[in-house]
Amino acid sequence: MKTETYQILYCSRNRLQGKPAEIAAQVNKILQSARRNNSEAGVTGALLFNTILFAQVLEGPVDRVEQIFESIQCDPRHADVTVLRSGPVETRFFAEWSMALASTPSEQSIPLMTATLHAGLADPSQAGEEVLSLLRNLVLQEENWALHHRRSSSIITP
Amino acid sequence: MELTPNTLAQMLESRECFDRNVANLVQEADPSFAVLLVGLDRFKGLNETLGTAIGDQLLNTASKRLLSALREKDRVLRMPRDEFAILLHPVRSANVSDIVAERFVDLLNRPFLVQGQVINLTASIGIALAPQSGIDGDTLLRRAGIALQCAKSIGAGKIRLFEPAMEDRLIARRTLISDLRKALLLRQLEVFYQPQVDLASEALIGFEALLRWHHPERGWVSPAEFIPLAEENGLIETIGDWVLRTACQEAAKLPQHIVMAVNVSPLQFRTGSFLRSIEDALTIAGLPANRLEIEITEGVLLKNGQDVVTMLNDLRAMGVRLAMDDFGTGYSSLGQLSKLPFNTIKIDRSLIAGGPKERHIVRAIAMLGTALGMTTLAEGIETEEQLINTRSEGCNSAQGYLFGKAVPASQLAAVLTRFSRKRSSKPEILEFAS
Repeated sequence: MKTETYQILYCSRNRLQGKPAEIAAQVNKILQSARRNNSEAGVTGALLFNTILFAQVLEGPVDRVEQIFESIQCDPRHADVTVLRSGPVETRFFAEWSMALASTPSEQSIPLMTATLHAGLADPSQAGEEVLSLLRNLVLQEENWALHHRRSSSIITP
Repeated sequence: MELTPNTLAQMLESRECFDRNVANLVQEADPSFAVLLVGLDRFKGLNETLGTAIGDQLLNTASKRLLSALREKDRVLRMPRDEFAILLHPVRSANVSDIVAERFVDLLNRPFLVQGQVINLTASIGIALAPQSGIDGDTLLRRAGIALQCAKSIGAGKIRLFEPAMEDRLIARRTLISDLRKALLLRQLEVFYQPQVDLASEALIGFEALLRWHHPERGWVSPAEFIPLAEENGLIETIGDWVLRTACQEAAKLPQHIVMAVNVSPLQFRTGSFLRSIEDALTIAGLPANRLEIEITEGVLLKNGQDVVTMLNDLRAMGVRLAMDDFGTGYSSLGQLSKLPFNTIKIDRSLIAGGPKERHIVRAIAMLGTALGMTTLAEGIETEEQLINTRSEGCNSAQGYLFGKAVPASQLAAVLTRFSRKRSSKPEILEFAS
């Protein structure tokens, strides 16, 4: 029997201190350990961050998601955690990523992302879908960009 | 979260263990430590709605969160129900325990995911510092508990440090509660009556019944002090019923045009037997319903919504009059006022005693009253000037020291005589108005 996939999406305030590059380095660390823990637990998901906010999706078996979510709760590097969506899902949204990083590829999308996340914190009941699709779009954009980048660089290098 | 054996050792097994730890700390060279009592707000309700299985798991996870934030020598003990006692050592200043407590509150405020359910909690914390607030487990836990009560009384998610004044207040409150129970038995409570007059004719039109307590040692105790206590301790119904019956019986002895206004606590509204109490009081006294006016504050409406509106309509259907008390101090929703069956709007004394701006407000309320077909009564008239002003602003009636203080029932006849004499001596009234 296939175990049910449980998904949770939350937003929180970034408490990381430092210059953007330093914050990026710290997020990278978080990402590495998340990927390690998640692939062991059969959990997938995506993380979005800027200097103010985090948004994260976790999906997998409910007990594993609970465990990982709980360890994230004890992390002092963020605060004001608000759950925007939680419950069983038919299919995983981020099946191929142990923890995809949705960075913000273009300058224009930063205000959009901030606005969406702020709306999420102000009215969690309404914003879940929006934040989720924002995350997914950003992850896909990132993937396209990376693919394109790889292809173009392979053209240049012999 | 996986716990290491070291972390698990920070979890104390029993209350005895906790007391031993405290005793050991007292013996140390630096005996500065703190006891924190962490209480989960509204946990009882959660337990009832989600079931004890989820509740227990929640408490387990909560204790692990606390453990994750402890320093090497700190210890935690699960207390009965929804509390945790934490022993912090060393604590060289209240600042240290404050910072740790804030971290605990932050951690427990974060959402919990238990069996697929997202649960949001808040925690409040009381802190007792040793050695200044005690040197044994019992005293420190009790005082941290007092501080926790204080924290909870100001809202969820708060932190309070124990101060001796908190304990003094608590003792004073306990004494006052037992004194109040005695006062009920010994009939030390008394109803006083303050005259209400018609502003145009200055004729006596009614009285407001006011509860007074003459404490054998303390003298007069303000209702503002003892009514909240009575509400918290389930005495308000008994007291309220007694006031209602006493006032109705007194009113029945007065001339037929005199209305008796009686204040009602929001809690009396919630009892479910309130309408019956009113009916009984009227029947026993033989008082027509339209000679009783029930005064309620806006707070009643805010808290109870539709149920109260239904109750107000039922009271009106019985013929009882309704007054909105202290209007202008709370939210004073005009929209709401228009939908409610009030006969009288009582304009708060703070507006009557105010300056030109407040006078505009008084005028607006008086106009509103006229438009809605409600009488406006100005509260707290103390000077001739206030009398002239409220009259020119369009208020219908008034009460205050200028017309007379609240008097015991034995002096009601004298008040009636004074007013009838005043009416017949025209020159005095002319002088008044000029």
